[in-house]
Amino acid sequence: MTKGFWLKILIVIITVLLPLILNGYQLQVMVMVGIFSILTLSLNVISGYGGMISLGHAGFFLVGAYTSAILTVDAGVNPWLALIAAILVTALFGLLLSFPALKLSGHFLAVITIAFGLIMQILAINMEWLTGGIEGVSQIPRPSIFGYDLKGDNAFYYLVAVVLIATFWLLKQILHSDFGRSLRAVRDDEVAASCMGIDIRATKIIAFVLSAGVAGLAGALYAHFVRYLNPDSFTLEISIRVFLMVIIGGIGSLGGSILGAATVYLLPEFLRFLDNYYYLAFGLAVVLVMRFLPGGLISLGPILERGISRGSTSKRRRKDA
Amino acid sequence: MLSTLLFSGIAMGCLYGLIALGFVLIWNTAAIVNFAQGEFAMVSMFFALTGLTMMGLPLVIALIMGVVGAFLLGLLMERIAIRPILGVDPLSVITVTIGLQILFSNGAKFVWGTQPFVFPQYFGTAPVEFMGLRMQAQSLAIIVVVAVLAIAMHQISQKTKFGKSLRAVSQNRETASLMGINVSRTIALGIGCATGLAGIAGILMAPITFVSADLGLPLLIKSFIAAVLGGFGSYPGALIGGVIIGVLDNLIGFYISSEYRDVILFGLLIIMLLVRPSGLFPHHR
Repeated sequence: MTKGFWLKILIVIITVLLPLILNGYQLQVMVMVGIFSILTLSLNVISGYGGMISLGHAGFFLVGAYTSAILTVDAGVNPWLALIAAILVTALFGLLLSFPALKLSGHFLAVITIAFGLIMQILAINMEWLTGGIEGVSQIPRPSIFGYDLKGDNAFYYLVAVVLIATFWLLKQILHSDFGRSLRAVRDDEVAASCMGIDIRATKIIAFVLSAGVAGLAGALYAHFVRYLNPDSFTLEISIRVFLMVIIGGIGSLGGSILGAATVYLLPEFLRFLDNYYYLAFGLAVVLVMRFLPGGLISLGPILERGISRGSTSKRRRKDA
Repeated sequence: MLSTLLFSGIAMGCLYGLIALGFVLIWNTAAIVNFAQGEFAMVSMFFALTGLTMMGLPLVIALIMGVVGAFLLGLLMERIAIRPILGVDPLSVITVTIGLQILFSNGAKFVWGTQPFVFPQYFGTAPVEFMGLRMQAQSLAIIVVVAVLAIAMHQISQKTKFGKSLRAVSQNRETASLMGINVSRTIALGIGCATGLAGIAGILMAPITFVSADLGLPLLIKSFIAAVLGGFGSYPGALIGGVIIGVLDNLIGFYISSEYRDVILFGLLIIMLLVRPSGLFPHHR
């Protein structure tokens, strides 16, 4: 049995047992951590593996959330079907945004994605006939499974946990396939990648569609969890925060994304005792992590391991002496 | 009406351009995208306001205090947060500046509170006639100051030793240091100048906006767009990009739709970048 295997077993056990020790509010926070982990994973596909900066992921999140919410509330569609529709519609938006991404890179792409996120938010505010404007959409139903209603936060927690693990596994398979290798090759050197016969256009388009679809999934889960949407939940700050989650966790690492999402989402909760200072401390924490761990929190793993092994060898040496 | 709108658009655009100019200056010299750039405009307004209302200083002194404050804060930021990470992964550096942005805007909230303040007018609100066109005195002042600054900066960059060092460092850091230029000092001063420019933009816009801790991020976005529109690297491009944004902002908001103003503006931006992927004035490093 490898160490990774036991780590996985441990994570699953903790995930299963966590609701037993958490109170209602803490459980809701953990559900949000799960949803943001999915969103962070989706951004990592294009930013971490594809090297394309997106500061508009709240836009995809919004499209997924509103699609699922509007379909279930206004059209009475089954929440599961609405969830799938949300993934497809958001993936379509990803397809649209991938065309500028083919032509632009770096800051130019970053600005386009910022513009995309803001456009989506302004449309959600102003297209009242569809989105309910600033009033938003309320009374979004929770889905049910085999006739069992997922009304309780406990049940929804497990749903999000299962979806997160499934997304993680699926993305891992995809990113370690030919496509994933192509994507990393395109990130590292477009010219060399195209010389190796990689279709750069197709690779980038697929990456955007995949990323958007997963973000739409996160959005739909969010809509059915909080059961009330308004445009304030999809600001530029959210896009920036998701970006921070990717980088702080460790860019180009799926495990890092979950770590980053958990850290960035939970840190303000732990800092709440600081009251007015807490965002101040949050900003400071971001600066400090990047200052001392430019590879993100996930790079802490190998550092600790090295530290432990160094500690044990020095002990052994002392014994020898 | 049109001329007033046009001029206030140009004036606001000049300010976006001025902030964008600093943004591009930092990018060119230190290869850093400074997400905290907008915060320096905000901070300088608050410094000036503090000098004016709490310390009872004369207006001019208070305004100078705002700009100098932004300049010094920029130097401090460079020394503490930026210099140690120069040269690591660019995404990590962006993240640090995002962290600084959060730090500054919430620091300002902590020091000055979340309530917006009204800054006193410099000239009164009556419109003035200039070459047969009606405009706000403040707009005219902004346009004149920014034009003078632009000319002065061009002169500094072409004629002085500091300006030449800045240009050398942005072309090639290693070669510049071989030529005896103190690279890290040049970068520090470049960043200080950039944040000082944002500070000047701040005190110029203080009378025409509410002074609040939330101003930084929207200003950053507008000036980021201005810089990109201008080719991200070109100084005249940044100014012109800013003016385009400012004017379009006003005209679309008044003549087409104030609700969809930003949608149209950003839509135009996307279309423009699809047609000219490297901005209006492509800049080759």
